[in-house]
Amino acid sequence: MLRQALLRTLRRARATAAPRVTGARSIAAARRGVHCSPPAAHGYDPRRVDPSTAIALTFVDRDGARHALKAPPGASLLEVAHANHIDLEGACEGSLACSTCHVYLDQPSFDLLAEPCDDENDMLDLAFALTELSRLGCQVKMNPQLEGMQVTLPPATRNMAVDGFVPQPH
Amino acid sequence: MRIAVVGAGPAGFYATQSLLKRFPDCTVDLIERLPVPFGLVRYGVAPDHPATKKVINTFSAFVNSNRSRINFYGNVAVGDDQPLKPSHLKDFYNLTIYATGAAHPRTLPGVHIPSRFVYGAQDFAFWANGHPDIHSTSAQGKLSERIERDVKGTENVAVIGVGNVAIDIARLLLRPVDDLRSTDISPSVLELLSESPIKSVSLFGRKSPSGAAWTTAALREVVTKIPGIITTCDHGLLRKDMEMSQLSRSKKSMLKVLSEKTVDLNSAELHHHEHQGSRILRLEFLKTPIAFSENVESVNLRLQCSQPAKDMVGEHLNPATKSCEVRDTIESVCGVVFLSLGYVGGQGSGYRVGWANGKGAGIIGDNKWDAETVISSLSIPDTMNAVGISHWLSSTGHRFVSWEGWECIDAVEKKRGSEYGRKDERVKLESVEEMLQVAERQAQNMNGFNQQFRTHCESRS
Ligand SMILES: Cc1cc2nc3c(=O)[nH]c(=O)nc-3n(C[C@H](O)[C@H](O)[C@H](O)COP(=O)(O)OP(=O)(O)OC[C@H]3O[C@@H](n4cnc5c(N)ncnc54)[C@H](O)[C@@H]3O)c2cc1C
Ligand code: FES
Repeated sequence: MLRQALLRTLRRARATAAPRVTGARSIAAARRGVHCSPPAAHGYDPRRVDPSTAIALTFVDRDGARHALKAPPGASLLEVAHANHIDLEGACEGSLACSTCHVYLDQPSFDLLAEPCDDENDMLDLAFALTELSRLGCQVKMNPQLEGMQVTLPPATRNMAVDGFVPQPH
Repeated sequence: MRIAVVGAGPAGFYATQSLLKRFPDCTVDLIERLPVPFGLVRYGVAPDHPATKKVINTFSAFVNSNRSRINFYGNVAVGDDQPLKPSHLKDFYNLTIYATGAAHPRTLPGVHIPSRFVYGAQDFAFWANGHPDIHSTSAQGKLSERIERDVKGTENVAVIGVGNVAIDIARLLLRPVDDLRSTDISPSVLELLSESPIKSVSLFGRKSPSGAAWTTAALREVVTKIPGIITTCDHGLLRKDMEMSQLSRSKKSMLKVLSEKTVDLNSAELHHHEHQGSRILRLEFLKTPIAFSENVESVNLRLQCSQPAKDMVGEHLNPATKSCEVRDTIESVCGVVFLSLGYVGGQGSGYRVGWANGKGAGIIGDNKWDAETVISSLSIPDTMNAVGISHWLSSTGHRFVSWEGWECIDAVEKKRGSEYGRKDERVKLESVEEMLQVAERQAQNMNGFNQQFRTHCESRS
């Protein structure tokens, strides 16, 4: 018992002594990938999606890579993204308080959905690179009519060609 | 490769995220002036906006799942006036990114600010959020005590500025105090507000309504979602603004909220509410403060009123003179005034991200965009074997807080919250010394366990 407790503590203590991380360890960590999105607050397990009701959709990520996915009805696009490790931030965990879950839909899917509510429109006003097809991912829920929907993530950076931005050390 | 990120606010965390992705073999040391992370998410965002603060969960999960590549050093300020200088970082790291937030709040140029009754919006936010700096002492006394003395017993408060932070101040002062009990607001502030006789908060803006800087979301909340607050403004002015053709969608919806959900300044309805003792939020436009004069128990605020000239467009600024026609001046007597005029973007050396870079404005998520933009274009000379600051810290004996130390502070604060009767919220430690002691106790316990473990192993071998 005592030994186990001590082992656990030692493991934590090692983590505390992190300044001495060696190059080899950090490279190994890097190979495991950088983990950014937290588990969605009300997430689902993508391996347990019922194939008979699953809805197909495609996420196009910021590099243009396409991810064909299946999602359960009722899941929000934010939950779908998180369940499938797509880098869509949901800073307020779907409380309509941040606009970091901003996505673009394809026109037919956009038209199928009910108009965004006032609160969603208010937050959309603050989103970067807003377009006519912008929605907040935490507010769009999957339904069978959306079969085949395409969801595109907005650009992650300012467009340097447009605003001529080049970072310089000051 | 070892990189320093100075400042652990949103920009610091987003920069760390981008760095870890872009440089797969880098380690990031997150160096923060305060013992605790999260910057203005913890100390700026209003206590009654817990959803906005949830981003802290995202940042914490990110650190915890990349523990071997991120080190947090709290209570370590970097500056030419600090023991740890920017030049040290050049020796210790392959690259340094500054995410230290905005440098200074804007003030009123040419207007004498009295030492009593007038404070910055940041002072208010720090006071409500229990920032350790608020307990610092100057020649005039302890800042928290001065604010408390002036806010206590005050019926009318003025805020100079018409942005979201101005609305935060008004909402916190006017909303029923019971709504605040279960938030993470500082207990001493809660106590003071529960006895507050406050009747009105007036927000003064230089421009006409369409020029207000608040977001529709913040306006809609205070105007439609908080019971017990009646909001009023001049509907005549509003109508003039709404007739303008070149308004954006967001300005249009903002003006719509004002016209549909507020009471006209000259209406009988407003007098009725005042008579009933409702708390009033006054949104005043085209008024520029020009002088303050101190009384014994209050301050007189002199304002210049303008009227939109005939040829004015957009925000009613004359395109030729960039100003409005001056009509007259008025005086308003207030118990306390908060200046909420925004921030000057940061200055300093090195690569800068977030509020330290650019204009010192924008919401939390904007900093992600900014960090990605800056980091995506960097290349680092990986020529030197960077050692980081751990040697400097141990050789100087500088007290610092690790990520585990912060987790202990976090646990202590949550425990105090539940002892105080808060279901989901904390009571913050407000003194740096107390935070350091909690973190150091954790480190000592850890050393003790290590010692015990070693003895245990040795005795078995
Ligand atoms: C009163 C107020 C309310 C706000 N409310 C909201 C809101 O409701 N929603 C929203 O989206 N946004 C809100 N914002 C905006 C949001 O807080 C900012 O977008 C964000 O915090 C900026 O991030 P940053 O990391 O650049 O700066 P900061 O959050 O200011 O972080 C900078 C960090 O650097 C540290 N630091 C400073 N100098 C040094 C030094 N020399 N050495 C080491 N460390 C240093 C600071 O202690 C701090 O932790 C609010 C801002 C304010 C002022
Ligand atoms: S997650 Fe914050 S608005 Fe959608």
